[in-house]
Amino acid sequence: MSHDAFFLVALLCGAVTFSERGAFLLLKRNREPHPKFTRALRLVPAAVLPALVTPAVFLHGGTLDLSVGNLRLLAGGIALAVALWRRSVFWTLASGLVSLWGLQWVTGAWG
Amino acid sequence: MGWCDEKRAVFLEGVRASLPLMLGVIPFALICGIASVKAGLPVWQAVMIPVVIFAGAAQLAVTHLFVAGAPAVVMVLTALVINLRFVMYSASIAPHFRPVPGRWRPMLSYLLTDQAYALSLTKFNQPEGCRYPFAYTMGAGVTVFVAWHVCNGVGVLLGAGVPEGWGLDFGVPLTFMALLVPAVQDRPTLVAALVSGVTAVAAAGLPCGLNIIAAALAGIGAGMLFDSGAQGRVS
Repeated sequence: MSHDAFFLVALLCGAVTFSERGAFLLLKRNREPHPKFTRALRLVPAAVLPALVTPAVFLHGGTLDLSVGNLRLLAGGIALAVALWRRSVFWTLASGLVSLWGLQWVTGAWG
Repeated sequence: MGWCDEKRAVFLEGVRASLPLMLGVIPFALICGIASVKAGLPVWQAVMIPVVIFAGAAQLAVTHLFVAGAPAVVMVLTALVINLRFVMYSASIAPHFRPVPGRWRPMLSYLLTDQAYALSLTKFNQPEGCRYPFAYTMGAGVTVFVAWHVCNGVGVLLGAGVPEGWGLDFGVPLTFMALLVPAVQDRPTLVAALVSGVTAVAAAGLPCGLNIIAAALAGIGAGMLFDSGAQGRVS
C-alpha cells in the first residue's frame, strides 16, 4: 500500500473513531443503550489490549519463544509486575525498556 | 467564547486535574511519533494522522498493520474494534451533557479521550458534582490534545535519530500493557484479557493481521459467557 493510500485509510479510521466517540453525544434524542450491549462494551478494553501485547512479547521471529533467551519475555514480565504495582504508563514503559536494555547489555545482544 | 468567570474557572480546573496524567500521555505520544517515522511515513503524515485519528492505541495498531502489509479493510476494522470503548464512554457520559447545544457536540466528541473521560466521570460523580461539565471536560480534553500533538511532534523529530538497537518499538506493547492493568477489574474482564492474549499468539499465523480482531472477539465472547454464567449462579 502506498503512503497516500494509507493516509486515506487513516482518514477512514478517524471517521470511524469520531463516530464511536459521538455515538451518544452527536444525536440529540438517544434511547438508553440496552444493558447487555453496555456490559459487552465494558469488556472491550480488557479484550483488545492483550492482543496488542502478547504477540510482541511471546513471539520471536514469528514463532512462540518461551525460553530465557527471549529477552522481551523477561523484560515484559518485569514491566507487568511494575504495571500491577504502580499502575502508571510512565513506570511501566521505563521499567520495561530499562530491563530490556540491561538484559541486552548482559547477554551481549546490545546494538 | 463569552464564558463567565465561573465557567473559565471550571475549565482551568479540568486543565489542572489532567496535568498528572501527562506522565502517561507524554511517553505514549513520543512512541507514536517515533513509530510513524520508523514505519517510513512522510513527516506531514506523521503529524496529520494523529490529528485525524486522535486515538493512540488505534493509530499504533494501524501503523503496525500498514508495515505488515495488511489490507485497508483489516486496518479500519481493527481501529473500529480497538475504539469500541469510546461508544461505552459516549453512552455513560452523555447524560451529563444534556444542556450542551448541538454546535459544541462535535468538538466534545472529538476530545473524548480515555483521560478526559476518566477525569470527567470521576469529577461528575463526586457528591458536590460539577456545575459546568462541558467546561471541565473541555479543559481536560484540550490539555490532552495539546500535550499529545506537541510530544508526537517531538517523537517525529527524534524518530530518525533513534537507533534500531535501542528496541524502542518495545515501548508500544509496554504502553498497551500499562493501559490494560486498570481495564481488568473483575472476573469477566480477566477472562476476556486471558482469552484475548492467548488467541492473539495462537492465531498469529492468520493472514493480514487478522489475529487482533480474532483475539478481541474471542475475548469479548468469553467474557460475556463468563459474565452470564456467573450471574446465573447468583440468581
